[in-house]
Amino acid sequence: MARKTKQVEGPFLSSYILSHYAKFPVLYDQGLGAIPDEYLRKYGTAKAIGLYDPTRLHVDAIVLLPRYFLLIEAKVWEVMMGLGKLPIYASLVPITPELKQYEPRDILMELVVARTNDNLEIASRANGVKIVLYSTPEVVTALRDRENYQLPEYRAKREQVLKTRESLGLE
Amino acid sequence: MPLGNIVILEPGKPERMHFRDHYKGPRDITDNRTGQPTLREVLEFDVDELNGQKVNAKYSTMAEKHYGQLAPYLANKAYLNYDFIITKTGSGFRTTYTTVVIPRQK
Repeated sequence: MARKTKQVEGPFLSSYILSHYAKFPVLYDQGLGAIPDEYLRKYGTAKAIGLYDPTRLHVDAIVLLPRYFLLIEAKVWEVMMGLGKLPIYASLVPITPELKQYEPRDILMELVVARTNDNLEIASRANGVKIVLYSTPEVVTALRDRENYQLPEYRAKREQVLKTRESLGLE
Repeated sequence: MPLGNIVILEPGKPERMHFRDHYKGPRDITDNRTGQPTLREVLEFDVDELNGQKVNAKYSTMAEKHYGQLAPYLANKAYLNYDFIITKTGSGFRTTYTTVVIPRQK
């Protein structure tokens, strides 16, 4: 919380989940993939997962629907990248030890975005991913700020803010 | 692991908590790298259940991404209706918080 930039995608994701899947268990930032046998032998399952988890891919969230793992990726900025990740995540679900206890479940995929476009829609259909349009006031503000970033008025205002910060000894 | 009345997450060990109340704002802490006091934004919860046991403890975080996971549950104290199983893995800049949110049975 000390950065000058704001976290937008995290609250965007959990706001979406809370408003659409409030009644279901959710796993946020779940690591996906197998744990190497040598780790399991040496450390036991729980510690091995703890040690190896930082090297695994992490899906934004998995909602445990009664018959499905619903993989969700929420993207405000690089939406195509979010789409590309989901099928990879889905391929790792069957070998993820933490998810064994919830099987058998089929896999659904959702990409939550504030804006969409034709290419995204076509590519998502081809990859079995559902595109969901969702927004929050914070996301609207963040998108507007990004769009305005290169405008002369915005740059002048930003320069003024930076000068003021410097004069106050904040930079 | 409760240490005094503070919940400390051990890497790889999930802790199941229920939150009763929360505080969000600046707090004086000691920076563990410099050893100097510093002002940081924290999100702190009053924990009334830890792994099924009644407790009176605090769980706090300064991790921005973890805060992002929890932030929407602060509105109207929606967290009262859920249990949170939080597992910390990795360390430093690679610390990850995997959070499982489970609706409580009414």
